[in-house]
Amino acid sequence: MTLDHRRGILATAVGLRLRLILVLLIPPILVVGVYGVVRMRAERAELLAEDQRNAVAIATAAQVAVERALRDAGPSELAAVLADALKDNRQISRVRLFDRDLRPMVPSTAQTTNDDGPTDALRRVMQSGQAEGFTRRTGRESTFVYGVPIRATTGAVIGAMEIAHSTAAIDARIRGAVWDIVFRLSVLMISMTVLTGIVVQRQLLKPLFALTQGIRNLGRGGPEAPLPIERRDELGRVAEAFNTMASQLRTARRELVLENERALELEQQLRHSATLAVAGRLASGLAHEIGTPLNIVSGRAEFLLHNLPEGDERREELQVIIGQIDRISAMIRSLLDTVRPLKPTIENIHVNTVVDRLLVLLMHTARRYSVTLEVSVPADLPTVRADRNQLQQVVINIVMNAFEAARPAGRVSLRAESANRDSRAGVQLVVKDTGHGIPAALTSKIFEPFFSTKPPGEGTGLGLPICRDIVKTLDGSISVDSAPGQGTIFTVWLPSGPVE
Amino acid sequence: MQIERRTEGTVLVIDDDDAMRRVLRDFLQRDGHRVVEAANGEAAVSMVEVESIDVVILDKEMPGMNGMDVLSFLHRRFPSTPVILITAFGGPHVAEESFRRGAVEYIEKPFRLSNVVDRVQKLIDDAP
Repeated sequence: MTLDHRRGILATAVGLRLRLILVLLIPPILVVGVYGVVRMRAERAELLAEDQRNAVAIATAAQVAVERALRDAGPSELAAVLADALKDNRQISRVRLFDRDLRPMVPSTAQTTNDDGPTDALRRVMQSGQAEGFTRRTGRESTFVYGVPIRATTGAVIGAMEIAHSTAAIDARIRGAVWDIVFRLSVLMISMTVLTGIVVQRQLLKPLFALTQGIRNLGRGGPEAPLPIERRDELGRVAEAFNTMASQLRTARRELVLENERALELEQQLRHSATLAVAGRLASGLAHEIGTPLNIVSGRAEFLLHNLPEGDERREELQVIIGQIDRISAMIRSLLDTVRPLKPTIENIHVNTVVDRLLVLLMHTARRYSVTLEVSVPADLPTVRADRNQLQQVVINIVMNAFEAARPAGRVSLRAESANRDSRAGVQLVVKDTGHGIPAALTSKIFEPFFSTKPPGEGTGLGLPICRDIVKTLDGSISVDSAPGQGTIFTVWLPSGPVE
Repeated sequence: MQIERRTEGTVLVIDDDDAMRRVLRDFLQRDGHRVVEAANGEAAVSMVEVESIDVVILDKEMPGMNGMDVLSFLHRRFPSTPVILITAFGGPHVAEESFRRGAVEYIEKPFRLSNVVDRVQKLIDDAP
């Protein structure tokens, strides 16, 4: 596996893992977060309200205590009374007690102060004679201020008291709670992330990786190694389906390889016999062309020899000539013996058995030439008298020529039907192509030896002459029907044998 | 001095090659036979009707009516006239076919002329 492949898988895996984690974790975290914020606000509001109620209660108690002290004991007792009323209320950050002229009525203590903070609230309370509460913000801190009037026994307002209650403690508590929640959520998020990562890795990415490996392996035609099926879930079913597909593909591939081998073998066999036929034809042509003049020369020499009296010295010369011609003759004869076609075995043949045997090769070649081949050779035709190999050669030669003519993207049909000629029963094979056809001037030449339209070196020009020879020795006939642009039809007719 | 008793006869030579016919004629005539010639199958077929033939020498490869056709015809028409078939396109199956069609001798080219002449002589001698 190359580095790029590994990177690709890794990137996909990380992407999927990250996406799953985000999809799984973000919604709950958002919901919990929003809920937490809302809940915190409500809590804070409640705490503040309670605090304010406390502050009001304390202020009211202090107000009563101060009025009573002023009435019963005099101003000197005020500080002690006030301290007593405010004890244990640590949230009270500041108490101010002023008279109508805004002068402090008690000295500053730990709990009371006479600083010169805003006095607007005190003034308002003294004027209206009504208690009043509000929140004052200074920076980040907020303070609840509650003012109450101080009345003499006559009911007249003689001063006012202000209690300031800091909310810092509540804010601190809330902040603490928020941090606590954030911490818990973070811990939860991290552990869920890790857990999801592990689960995704184990349950999803590992089997997916195995599947990816399997597919790559299959694509490269690697060794058979079915994916292990360790689970019964969807991924297990994917692995199962993949294994089935892989085994089907392997079977198909094996069949294809086998078919190719069969086609190749048949092709070689046919090419061999075609080569032999061509060589035989060449050799016998040679024997005829050379043999006849040789015969005449040797005959003339023999004739002279017979006419010369015994003892004539010219006889020796003639013997030499005859001897040398005998040598050439012997050479030609041995050449002929080497390439002489095997003796044909003429038998009654069902044409479909010959065509069926060639079908693999023909279909294979048709695919290679991008030609559509239609074959219609019924099994119930009469038999013909022929040699199986020769008939095979005739079919191959004519159909291959049709492929050549029809390629590319043309159609070739091979049809066999029962047909009578001159009141003799027989079978005709009709090969039709959608090629360019043969010009009329050439139709008479195509059966002549060494005539070929193919580039030099590609065709021997002997395919059709050999077909014609074979068909002739079988007492049949071969004909061609073609017009330029119309395609070509070859018809081979062979006589039927006696009924078996 | 050899003393030979030869029976003389009429031989029909059928061959499209002129020189071949001539050399056969010279050989046969030297032995005292009468020779008639035909340059093709069609001429031969008409000639046998008017001539009285003892032996036929027939070339298998000829344009038009070929040797095998002529052989079949002769055998049907004159079953008792022996025919020697000569061919360059030979082989066991050609030999078999010639005998099946009625030839008495089968000779492949190239051959020694004296052999052919000897066989002709033998056929004429053996004739009833």
